Amino acid sequence: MSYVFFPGCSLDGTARDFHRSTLAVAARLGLDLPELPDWTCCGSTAAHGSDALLADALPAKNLSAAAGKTVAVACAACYSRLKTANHHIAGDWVVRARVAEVVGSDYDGRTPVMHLLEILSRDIGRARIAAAIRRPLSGLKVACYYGCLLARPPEITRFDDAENPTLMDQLMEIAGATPVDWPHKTECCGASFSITDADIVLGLSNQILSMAKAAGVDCIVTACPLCQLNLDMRQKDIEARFGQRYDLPIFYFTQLLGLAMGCTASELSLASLVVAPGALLKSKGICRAEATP
Amino acid sequence: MSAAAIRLERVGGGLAREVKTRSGASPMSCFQCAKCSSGCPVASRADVKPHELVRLIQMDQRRAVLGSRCIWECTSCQTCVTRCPQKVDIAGMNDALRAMSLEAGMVTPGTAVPVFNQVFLKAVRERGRVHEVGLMVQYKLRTLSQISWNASLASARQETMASWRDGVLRLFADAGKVPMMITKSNLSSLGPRVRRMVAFRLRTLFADADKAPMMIAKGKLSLFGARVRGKAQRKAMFRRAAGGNP
Repeated sequence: MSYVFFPGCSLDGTARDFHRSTLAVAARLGLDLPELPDWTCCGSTAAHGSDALLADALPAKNLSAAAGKTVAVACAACYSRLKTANHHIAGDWVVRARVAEVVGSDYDGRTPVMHLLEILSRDIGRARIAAAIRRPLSGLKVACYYGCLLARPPEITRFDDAENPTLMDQLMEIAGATPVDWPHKTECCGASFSITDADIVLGLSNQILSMAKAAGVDCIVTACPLCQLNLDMRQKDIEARFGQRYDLPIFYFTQLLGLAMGCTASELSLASLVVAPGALLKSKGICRAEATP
Repeated sequence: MSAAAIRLERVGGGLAREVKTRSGASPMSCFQCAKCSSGCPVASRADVKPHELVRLIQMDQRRAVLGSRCIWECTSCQTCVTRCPQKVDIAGMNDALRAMSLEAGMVTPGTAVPVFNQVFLKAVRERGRVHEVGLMVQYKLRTLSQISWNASLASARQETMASWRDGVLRLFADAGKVPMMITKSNLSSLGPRVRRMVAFRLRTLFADADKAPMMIAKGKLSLFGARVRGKAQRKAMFRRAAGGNP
């Protein structure tokens, strides 16, 4: 299958480590991810929170430019917006007509959209990933955190079980890590309230961190730039606010997968993580001392 | 769709019908099981919980609904609609309610979401992509102009305005200490509602200023954002979208 990659705005900014590690892992797997030329923002929460038509039109403009290829997405929020627009446009001819008027061309809502987790699990498959593993993450206990927008609402994303998704857990197992059962896999971190009302984020992210800690993990693995940013960048603030000590590195799943495939710390931008993972990785014998940030 | 469901959608007042038209969500299908509220991440802090909001819509309580804080605190996590036995899309409903609240001029004081949305969409219109540093600067500036506006509402006296301007300049000079000073000295003459509003804006203005150096060191912030071709088409798209909403 051939893909075009829709990175989304975050992957050019605060989630550049997600971008870099995604391309590093893709290269190890022989997965070609050419960027969708001249892609524009999906509109995110700002669009669907204020202008329903624009929220469908911005994704439609990008999806119709994919020329029949499967659009590969890394950001859970972009994924949600692209799939939701497809659902609206393919399911309602009135919406399709209105969107066509706004965009200036008709789009049928049928360009396939897949998250990287789906591509790795379903298209690449266990065998090819296992064959690329050079340095299993033995002894690393991880909490796989999916957040809201990959699995919900299931009628639209058709990603995995909405209450207990396991795609990331399966990948982490292939990489040699030990994913744990924990109840906050799909709880909300507060997402874009990070900017408009940080109190919401501090409270919700604290619950996620404390539950992961209670599950006895070494780190949390994420698949969404906002989840990662809230749990990582705000972890110090959360610890101060709630009088806790978590010290949990927050990885993107591509970073851990990349480590298991033998990528270097710089290929995976591990230095971008705010809660430094060096000590943890060294203690597990995963990353050489000189390569760890 | 069953016959019973069709009949249910025909009942309900003007607000329920408007919500249905604008969002596709069917508030009249709700039978108040409160599963939405038990899974909602922000229900514990909400002035109106999700199932209560739906009930208020059924009862046509326009002011209580459009003036509520909860419609602006919804994180769009989609837990409510995922678990609802009647598939009432409360998250989608909240999107429509936000737009309606803005149009009706009933936005609750103390939410920064409308300003954030405007700044965000302006960036998309102008550049095609959102550049996080630029977005934050724009957002902070807008927040700042709101502070001055709130202050001018509170008092038209020249010296108040002048001391505000000085205060704001000092805010930037010594970001760590000055906000507290200003909050204490200047705002004591203002009424409690305005003081709350201004304190809120000040918090917003200074939130995360401390994070910038670390984020730059970690390579998480780029100082210049990308620009995508086709600005004229994008602008036309935004114009058509604004005119074409139901």
